[in-house]
Amino acid sequence: MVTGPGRAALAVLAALLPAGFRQRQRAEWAADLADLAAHGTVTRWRYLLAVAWTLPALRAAARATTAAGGPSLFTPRGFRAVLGRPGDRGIVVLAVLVSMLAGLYGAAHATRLGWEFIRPLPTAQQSAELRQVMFPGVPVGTEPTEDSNGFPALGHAVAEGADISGLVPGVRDRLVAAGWRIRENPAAGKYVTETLEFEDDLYAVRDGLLLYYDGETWFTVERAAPYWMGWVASAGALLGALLGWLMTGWAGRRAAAGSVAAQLAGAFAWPTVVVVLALLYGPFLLFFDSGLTYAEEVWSHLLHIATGVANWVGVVAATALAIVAVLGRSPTSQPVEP
Amino acid sequence: MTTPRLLALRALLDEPGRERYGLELALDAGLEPGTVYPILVAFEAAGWLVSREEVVDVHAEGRPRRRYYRLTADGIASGREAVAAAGKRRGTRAASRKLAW
Repeated sequence: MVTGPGRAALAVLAALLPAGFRQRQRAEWAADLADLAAHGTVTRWRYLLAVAWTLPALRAAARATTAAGGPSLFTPRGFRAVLGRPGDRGIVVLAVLVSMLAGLYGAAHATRLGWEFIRPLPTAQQSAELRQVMFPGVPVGTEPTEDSNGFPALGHAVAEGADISGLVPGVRDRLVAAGWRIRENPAAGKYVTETLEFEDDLYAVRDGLLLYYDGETWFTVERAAPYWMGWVASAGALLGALLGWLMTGWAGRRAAAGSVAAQLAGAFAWPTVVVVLALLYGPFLLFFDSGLTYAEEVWSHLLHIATGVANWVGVVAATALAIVAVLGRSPTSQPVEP
Repeated sequence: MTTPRLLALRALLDEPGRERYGLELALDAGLEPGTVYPILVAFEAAGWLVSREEVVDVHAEGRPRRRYYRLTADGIASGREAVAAAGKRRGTRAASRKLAW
């Protein structure tokens, strides 16, 4: 008999099937697993994985048995059919593009949400300690400021008239001694045309904080993305891509090919996904030379997507879906069997 | 018709009168065990298969009752047609590739 996690997995899988079919299928799976017991745990989990993989098809087949007219064994299958256009390769391209765009938005909004839970800025005590590390014995003022993404940061400025010329060369060493990791700035040592000076600023990181020192009298402390932000963004991307795919499939099945609804929705969707995808993905491909790491640039870009004007894409998507919802289900629409 | 369905159909048609349970048929057809049930349910719903639950003492057997599937007369006739049609299509594709080259 099936016991433990295998039994729980079967219960979950069976729960996703139509009620009248559940017990029968669960018994078949359980009997198979009992047969496979001699082949080891890996084989049994491989079996469960295969069951999970084909569960949508089984669910559709079980539901089709009760559908009017019965099922067809020759229904077109594959991506195009599932998306409502058995004879149209374009629908798959559109669904992929929409999924990519929705995935990007999913990652952006997940990152924005995750940012609410990252490490807070230093306390007044910690900030005072940092000021002493940077410029010991010199009065340094602290003022609230914003990082490049518009989130609160702490700015620190040496009091006007204070002589720090003897302290600047030792900033790097004192930060390292205090546990900060200096990140080499790729732009350091470069001659900056605008200011007619050499760039000698630096970045340092410690405990989820990013310190930027301009090489003179000013430094800021910002919050940096922790290691788990990658998982959060990836989960958001997957969820967004799935929603994008499902929405395209729903619209494709609801609005018949060539119908007014399909043409109107397509007129909104196609230019938007092509242009916006190029605009939003483009920056990921560019080489950054700002002193930030590539990962930091990615987080910054995602946060700008989540909070920026690009959100009007959601309005376009909602309009296209509303057109399909209202004008879809034309007399020529043919629901596609799964 | 999809390739897994054709594989299952061929395995069933090898011995049309024989009853088989899901795992047994999957192994006969060369399918990944666990992936055969959507096919069996679809065939059964189309009237190509009939199924029955075996009558055994589950405590004595130490496992739940199996469900056995068998082709119907309609399933045998339609299945042979489907397999033949698939073979013909494959032959046509192969021939067209030959001509193209």
